[in-house]
This record gives sequence, C-alpha cells and structure tokens, in this order.
Amino acid sequence: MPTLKVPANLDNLKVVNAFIEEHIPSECAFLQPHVELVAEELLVNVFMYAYEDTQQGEAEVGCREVFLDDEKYFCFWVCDNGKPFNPFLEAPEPDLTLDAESRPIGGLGIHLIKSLTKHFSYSYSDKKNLIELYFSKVNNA
Amino acid sequence: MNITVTEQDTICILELNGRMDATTVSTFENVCKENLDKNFSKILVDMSALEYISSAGLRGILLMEKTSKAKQIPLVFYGLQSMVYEVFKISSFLSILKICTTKEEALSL
Repeated sequence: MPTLKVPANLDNLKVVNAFIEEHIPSECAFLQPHVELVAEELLVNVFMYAYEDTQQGEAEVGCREVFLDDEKYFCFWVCDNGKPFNPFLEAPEPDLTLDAESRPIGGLGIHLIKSLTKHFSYSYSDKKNLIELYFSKVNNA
Repeated sequence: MNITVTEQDTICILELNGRMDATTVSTFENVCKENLDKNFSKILVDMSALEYISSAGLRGILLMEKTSKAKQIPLVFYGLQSMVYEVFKISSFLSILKICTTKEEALSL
C-alpha cells in the first residue's frame, strides 16, 4: 500500500500532489482533481492546527482500493499525531443561501470534502488522528 | 499561479493561470487589492487557464467580491473550467458571483 510521510508545512502540498498523481489507478484518473482538493483541505488543517504547540510534526498520507460491502472505492487517507480533532463534527455547516455581503470568509473546506466523497470516516487511536475518504469509482460526469 | 493584468480603456482584466491553492492565494489577494484601489469602471477575471481551486482560493474570491461590492466596482468572472466550476457550484458561488461564459459577454455586461 503506497504511503508518504511529509513534514507539516504547506510547501509539501506539491509533494503530496505528485504522490497522488503517481499512485491513483488509471481507471480513477477522473478523480484526481477531487483527491488533490481533499488532500489540500485536510493537510492545511493538520499543518495549521494539529501541531500548534510543538511547531514540529508530520502528516502521513496513503491510498488503496477498498471494498465496502460489494462496492469498490478508491480510498485516500491522512494521518497525523497532533491533538485529537474530528473536523467532520467540529466544522459548522456553511449557510449556502447567504449573499456575498453576509457570507463569512472561509469554512468551506469540510463542506467540499463531504460533497466530493461517498463516505468519510474519522478515528483516533494510538495517539493518531486518521481520516479516510472513499471515492466512488463510477464516473458520473 | 501566474496572473496577467491588462488594462482595456477603463476596464481591468486579470488572467489567472495555474492553481489557486493555500500556497498561491496570497498572490491573487495582493493583485486584487492593488487593482481594486485604481478606480477601474469594471474588473474582469479570466479563469480559462485556472485548472484548480481549493477553499483557500474561494476565500480569496469571496474577499474580492466583498471588496468590489463595497467599492461599487462591477466584478465579472468568465471562462470557468470544469474543476473550478464544480467547486463554485458545490459552494454555491455560482449564485453570488457574476459569471459569464466568454470575454465578450463579460465585457457587454
């Protein structure tokens, strides 16, 4: 199973994107922009918040194909050993009916992840946060 | 991301090229700030060569929209590619921004 460890800073988004491009199966190539997007959203969170106190940390990412029940998915995961944080519970749902003037700046990252994935999971064990995102391999586009 | 700025009479056109993410959005914000201060009659944003946008990029776009509204300078986006269009759609940015298909259409607004 391909995995990659990167130090927690934004310059490493490029390295993660290269990893995704190299390891995404050819039949999932249509998912690549979505996977790059969710990777950025999660890693920016980890890099900015998980290691506030220590300044030093890293994130690990990986991907694999998974059967959930009878369906085959492409799974991309991000793991860090920062403080416990479940972004799916902590992030408020954005109000998408507001006009530009009344919209708050930011807060769309988790909404994008939830919209682009079929399933998402969070777990905390062995002092590690693990987020797994499952993409449908059926191209609806 | 590269940004090319052209002035056409009193109109400013920002041509975005590449990826607008957490590492590049500050470039966009600086260029916007600079040009929103120049009293153009209208600002167009050409997105036909923008291949990727994340929530960090959306923050930059919303900030620009809010500032242009406050300054009453019309702001029109055009030429959205599929990835950017999809992200705008999911975030319901399609309904809060002025968006056109072509430059001609954006100029005529």
